[in-house]
Amino acid sequence: MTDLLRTLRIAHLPEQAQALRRQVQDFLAQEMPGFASGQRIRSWMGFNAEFSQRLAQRGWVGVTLPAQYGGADLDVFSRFVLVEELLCAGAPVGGHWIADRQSGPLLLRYGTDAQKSRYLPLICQGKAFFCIGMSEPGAGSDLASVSTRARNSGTGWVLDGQKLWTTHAQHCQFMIALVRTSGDAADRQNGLSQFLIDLSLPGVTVRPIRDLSGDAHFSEVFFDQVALREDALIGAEGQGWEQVTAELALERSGPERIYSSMVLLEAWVAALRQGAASHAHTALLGRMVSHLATLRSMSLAVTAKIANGQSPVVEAALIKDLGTQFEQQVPAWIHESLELDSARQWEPEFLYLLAYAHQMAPSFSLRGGTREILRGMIARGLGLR
Amino acid sequence: MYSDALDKLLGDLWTPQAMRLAETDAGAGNTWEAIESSGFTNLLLPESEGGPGLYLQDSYELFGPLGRHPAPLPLASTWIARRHLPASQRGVGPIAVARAIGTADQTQIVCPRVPGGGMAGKVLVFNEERLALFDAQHTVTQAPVGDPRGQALRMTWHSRDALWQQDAGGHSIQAWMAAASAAQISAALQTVFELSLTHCNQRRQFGKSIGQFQAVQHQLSVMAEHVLAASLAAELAFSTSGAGPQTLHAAIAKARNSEAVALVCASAHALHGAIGMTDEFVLGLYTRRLNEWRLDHGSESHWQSVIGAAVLADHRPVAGQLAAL
Repeated sequence: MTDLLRTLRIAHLPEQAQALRRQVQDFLAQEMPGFASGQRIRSWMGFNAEFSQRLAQRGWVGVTLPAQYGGADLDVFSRFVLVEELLCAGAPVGGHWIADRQSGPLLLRYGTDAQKSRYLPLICQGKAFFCIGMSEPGAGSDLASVSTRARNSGTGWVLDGQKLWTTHAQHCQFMIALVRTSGDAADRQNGLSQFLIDLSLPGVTVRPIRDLSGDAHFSEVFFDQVALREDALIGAEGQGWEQVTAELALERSGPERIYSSMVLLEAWVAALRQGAASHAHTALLGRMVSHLATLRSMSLAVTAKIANGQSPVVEAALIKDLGTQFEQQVPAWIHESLELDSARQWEPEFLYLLAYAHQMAPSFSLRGGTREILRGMIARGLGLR
Repeated sequence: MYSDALDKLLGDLWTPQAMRLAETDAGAGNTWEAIESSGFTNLLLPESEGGPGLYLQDSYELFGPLGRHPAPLPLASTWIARRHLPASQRGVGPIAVARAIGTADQTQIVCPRVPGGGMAGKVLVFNEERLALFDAQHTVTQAPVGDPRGQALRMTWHSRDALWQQDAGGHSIQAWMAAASAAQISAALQTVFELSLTHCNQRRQFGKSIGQFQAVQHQLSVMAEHVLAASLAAELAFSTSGAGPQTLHAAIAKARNSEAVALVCASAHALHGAIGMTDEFVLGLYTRRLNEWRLDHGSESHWQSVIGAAVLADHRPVAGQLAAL
């Protein structure tokens, strides 16, 4: 009954993944000095097309895709290392992030040969950025109630509706959206399908939405009788829910669910190393590291399951919930401990990072599935639902 | 393989009733002889000295049965002490292990907390520089610390009464004990979780099992997160190359798992309601032991300070240090 808690075991990174780490570190040592800490803390919310393209030139976009499409054909452990290095350095990876993590692997798994030949090379070249069209005004956590609809026109599809909170839609060329192709909201998970939408098509309107930090990291996207070709459908009609579920395991398990506050944490540690750290701060750092090292082991263990061909959906939900709690604790813990050492002066640059992280932290447990949804999934995995 | 056999043996010997008897000493001697005569006190010895010669990674599995059958007998410390003692000093009977603080004039050895001291025949004490073996009966003073059923004692000896000593091994034995304790905690947390899950599936209120209420489901989900975290933290401590756990890995495991005790035990009791507060129901036995283990061999505050100091002293970014673990 609780196999869930017994089957996740320590995994080690294979040699080739460790070798990749040194290459990525060298690349970042050249690329990152130009980025201020205020940019780096945005991490995978940071969009920079030039950076994504330089990474692609190095062969590190679409890293798990086969070489025939221009991919690096690396295993998921190598991607783990690449992601870990990029996030901890605060590299602006938002441009290619979604395509590399899930859209590319989704197309590889469910796409036709024609779809794969057309889109995967563009992804690997850093020329096609993807966003995920899931949330709508009336469908947030209740994703199965999406009402954006694609009607079969005989020669293709006609798309009407609206997506909301779509990360970086304003910078992307393509969206993969979950929409209804048959039935209605009462049919729930049945009758949903995934489409690849060219956002430059007539009838598509993308409007950025300003977030509470002053950035515009997400958008609303309107579809008004958008004519899609027949081959815009991904996978099988009506199989959208199953496909999205598999995709979410990729989305939820990665190290981005533990490292969102890493730039802040490193800046805090760098500050503590100036002069003597107080006992309270030293112990707090130890507490954070005990959590982070454990979460990293958990994330690596899930990666090993994915490498084994499994789809650890529940484990991924569990780690995302625990990981985002940690990411949110980091600014909260630092905040509450600031004046435990009254002799210490904090630099304005550091205090900006703290303020930014504090304000964005609530989003860590909203994006990619809320805490309540994830806990419901874990409960199901435990046999309670 | 050894852990399955040990699970079977301890399951037979240490029924809840027997574990409660052991808490007040009666009958404990018999179960110890059964363990010793089965050869189960030599599990961490190399083959050349009559043990199974387990790799560090494989020895992790040995501590699970101790968490699942939480009698207050110092079996883990006996394994670890025998590994650190020369054959001539191993003798028979349970050996406790504890950190010592010296008195100013060095004439006495003070151990503020000797886990399982009340059950031990000998105590192997350590500090940064050395190990020393003492007879548990020939103390200057001894007094229970915490709930006497936990068998933890504060003990002092005359330095001159050491049966054996050695100017090395302190770091090794400390890391071993922290890692072992973290692994025992992990297994006991797992049992506490399973008790809670079973209870929530069986207990009915408002016409349905309480496990069907979303608020209860979410509490169990969060418990599961921390139980799983504890198991990975513990296993990490046994996953390095080398003959024994490394201090930083053991520190992470013990800090993380001691912290997990608080949340998991609080949730387990909240979900069990009044039945969990009885002496008869087994939950209290586990949570009592877990709260003792939380303090044994360094609480989270001790190890958090150790980890923090190590990370600050290392010039690399935190991420680089984690990747090198």
